[in-house]
Amino acid sequence: MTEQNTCTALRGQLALLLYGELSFDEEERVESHLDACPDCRQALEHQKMLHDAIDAVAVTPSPALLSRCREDVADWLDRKEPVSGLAARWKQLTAGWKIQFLRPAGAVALLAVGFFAAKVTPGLNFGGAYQAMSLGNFGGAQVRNVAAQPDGSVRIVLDETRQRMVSGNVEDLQIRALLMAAAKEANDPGLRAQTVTILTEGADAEDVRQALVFALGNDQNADVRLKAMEGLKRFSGDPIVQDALARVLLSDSNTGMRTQAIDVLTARQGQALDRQIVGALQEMMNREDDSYVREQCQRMLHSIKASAEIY
Amino acid sequence: MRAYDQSVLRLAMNLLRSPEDARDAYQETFLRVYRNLHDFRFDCSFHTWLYRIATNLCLDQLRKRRVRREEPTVLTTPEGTLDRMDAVTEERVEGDPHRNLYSGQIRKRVKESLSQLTPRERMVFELRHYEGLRLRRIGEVLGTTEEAAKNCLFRATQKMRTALGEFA
Repeated sequence: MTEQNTCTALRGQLALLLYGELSFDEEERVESHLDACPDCRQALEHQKMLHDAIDAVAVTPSPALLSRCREDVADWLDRKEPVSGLAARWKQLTAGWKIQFLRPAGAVALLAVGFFAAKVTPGLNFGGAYQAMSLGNFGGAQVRNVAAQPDGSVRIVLDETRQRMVSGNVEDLQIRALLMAAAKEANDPGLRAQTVTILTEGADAEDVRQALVFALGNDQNADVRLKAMEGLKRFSGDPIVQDALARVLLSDSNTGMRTQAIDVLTARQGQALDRQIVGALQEMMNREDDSYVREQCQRMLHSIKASAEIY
Repeated sequence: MRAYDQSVLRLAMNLLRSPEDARDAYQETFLRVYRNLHDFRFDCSFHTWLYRIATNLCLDQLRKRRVRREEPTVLTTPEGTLDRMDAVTEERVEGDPHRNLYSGQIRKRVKESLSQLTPRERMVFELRHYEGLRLRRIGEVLGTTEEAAKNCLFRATQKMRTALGEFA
């Protein structure tokens, strides 16, 4: 090959060189030639200028256009009924990935210095979704403390116009209602954590599991969320629990939480995983900073033969 | 989703050079994602799947334009060529000294040379240059091999270099 042909052939590769898309050998040949050929070095500089000129004509969508586009899709989704359980859950998931903060419990009166309590509101709904559930009708009473007893019962200290104590088992509906309200609404994270631990004993009940899932996804305190996750471990095959774990992986800012979530999932290696979890694991490969979590994600994906590509 | 949708819109804007067409492509992309989510087999990442849908829609649109020769993005007028995208507000132009280095004439030539690429070449070029995707990823998005994507990119850059030639 004549020198001119060599230069011609090489200059065709300059763009790929700048993109970093040449193989090791190809790049070595190009670099060696550039070292010896001033004309080709000048051609490389020209190629760089060309790339800059191409960059200059790139179009950036305006925020207004992006906003209109998002509204178009949102309007369409709002008009559309979910076509399948998966699509409905996708719509739910994409509606807000961020951890939601506990809502204030309404007009709460702090009774005693140093103590915080959950507001007990009338209108308990035993059968409804946990988020709509509130406490039993104790006429303005406030949960002040909860404690597990050696005999398996639970002692709950209520403040009304005077302190009041109730005892019972987690199976008791009213006791359970008080505990679930405390887990959700108590201002003291220590009280919420203790309540969640006690509720774990009764996690076989659907409403308690809902309470734990709610705490896992919404409590501001990582210790409370961790205790909720521990309580849900034995239900990791449940699609709702797996959804919640997927949210933890993608949204929880606490590395310990994400580590625990991936550990709960890797305990299920070889077993079927909910599709949301598989998607979350793939997403984690692109965005997770913690190397342990990434390795575990990769291990899970390999075990179910799903792609673990990273770009 | 919000991390990806800007990329989808930007890709559509640069390929289709029309805010209306880009908006349509954006909406259709996400509607197809919603409708076909149950068919997603996790054989690639969600990002790759999303890009695949978006690029297929844009490719279809580019091919239709070449067949029908309708609504060209670059119009020839008695006063010279006119690009529809010049009507689109580009946020950073005014204060960006980097962009101001390049005269209107050079930018027009760049746009014209882009329009001379085939739809596939244009797609590969856009994904590599503007979206920064690696060739292996581009191959997955377009349903081809990395080598085929590389050859396509090579042809595209050769055409650009020939079309633009030497410029100041």
